[in-house]
Amino acid sequence: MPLSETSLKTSHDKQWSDLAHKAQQGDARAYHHLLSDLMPFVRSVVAPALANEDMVDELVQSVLMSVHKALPTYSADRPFKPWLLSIVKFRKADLLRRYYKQAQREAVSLDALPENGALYVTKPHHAGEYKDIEAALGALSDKQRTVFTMMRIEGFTAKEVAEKMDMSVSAVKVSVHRTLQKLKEGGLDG
Amino acid sequence: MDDLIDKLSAELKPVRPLSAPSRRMSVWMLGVVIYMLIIASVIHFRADLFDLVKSPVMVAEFVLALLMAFVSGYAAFCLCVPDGYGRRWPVRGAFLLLALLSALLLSMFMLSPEPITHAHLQWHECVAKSFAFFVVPIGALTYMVSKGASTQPKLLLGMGVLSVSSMGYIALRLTCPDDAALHTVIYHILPYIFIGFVSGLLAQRFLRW
Repeated sequence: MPLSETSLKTSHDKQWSDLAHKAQQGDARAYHHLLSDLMPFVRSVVAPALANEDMVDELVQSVLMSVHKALPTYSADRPFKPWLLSIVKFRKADLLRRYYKQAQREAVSLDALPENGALYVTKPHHAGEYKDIEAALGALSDKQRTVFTMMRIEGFTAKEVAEKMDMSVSAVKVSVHRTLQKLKEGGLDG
Repeated sequence: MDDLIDKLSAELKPVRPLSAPSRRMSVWMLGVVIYMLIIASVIHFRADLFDLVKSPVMVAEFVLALLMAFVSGYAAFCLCVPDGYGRRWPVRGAFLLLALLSALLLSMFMLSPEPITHAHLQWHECVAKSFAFFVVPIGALTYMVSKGASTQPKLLLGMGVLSVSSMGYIALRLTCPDDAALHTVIYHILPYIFIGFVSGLLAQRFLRW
């Protein structure tokens, strides 16, 4: 007979609680198991609320580091999930606060556009076309252009691009970041 | 991400779980009581100390303030772990007691109104005493809760400030012979609101993790 959803959840919680208890005693294998188990769970909790994959990665990373720091505050006689979800909620709020603060800093008032419009939009004589973007992309190496096009235009995730291009996920992210920098330096904002 | 997990696992050292909040609060509260008794005896207790218990209003005031100190102190120690031990009653209880004590003080103030005179608005030694009763206990509390990992640092500090202020309020009542409601509000309560606010802002730095 299949286990009910509630009993599955309970067994998950019990398992994590045991692993956390062992980790507190210094069992590195149990800790590795716990963190590896938590990663997909945290990802599934935070992904629906965030705008892109990079933010999800950043938040999952931050939650795992917070679990590490807060390990002494977990008591084995309490359920694990509420403890974990409080950390997830706290770190998510932290990340979004930073994100909106940065967005506010980088925002350009619409009032500033008429006289300085040329600085923020593509060249007026290219309005409605993509010539300058195409030219900027054309100046990139083949590999950089392919990675950037796949991730930022065609919508593949960093992991998918990494698999297709036989690169590591972090190398893909670095490549896209550098391309964006180049485009910005050339007067284009990705 | 796998690298991060490997790194964190390699860095793992055995850790001692934090003891129960009631235990940590008892240690802190005992220290605060001893500290305040020492300061109060240096300042000198008021001469009519034993007559105070004859006044039911005063007894009610002391009982409420003491309960508030315990409940909000307990709330602060609960809140220093991420899920607050899943307990919400300490915070609710502390706010309820605060409302009751405020209502009692307000009724005392309404029943014995006094005009605000120049004398009431001068620097008074009770303000200095407030600082003496406040700074060390809130410092000790901040140090103790910083061992945890709070996801509600502002609420935690609010509860801590409430607890220390209640204890300090009792200590001031035991050392200051002036029972006038206006004096109590201006010199026994307002300083705590002010220093509580300032120390809350400062202490928040110590609770980042």
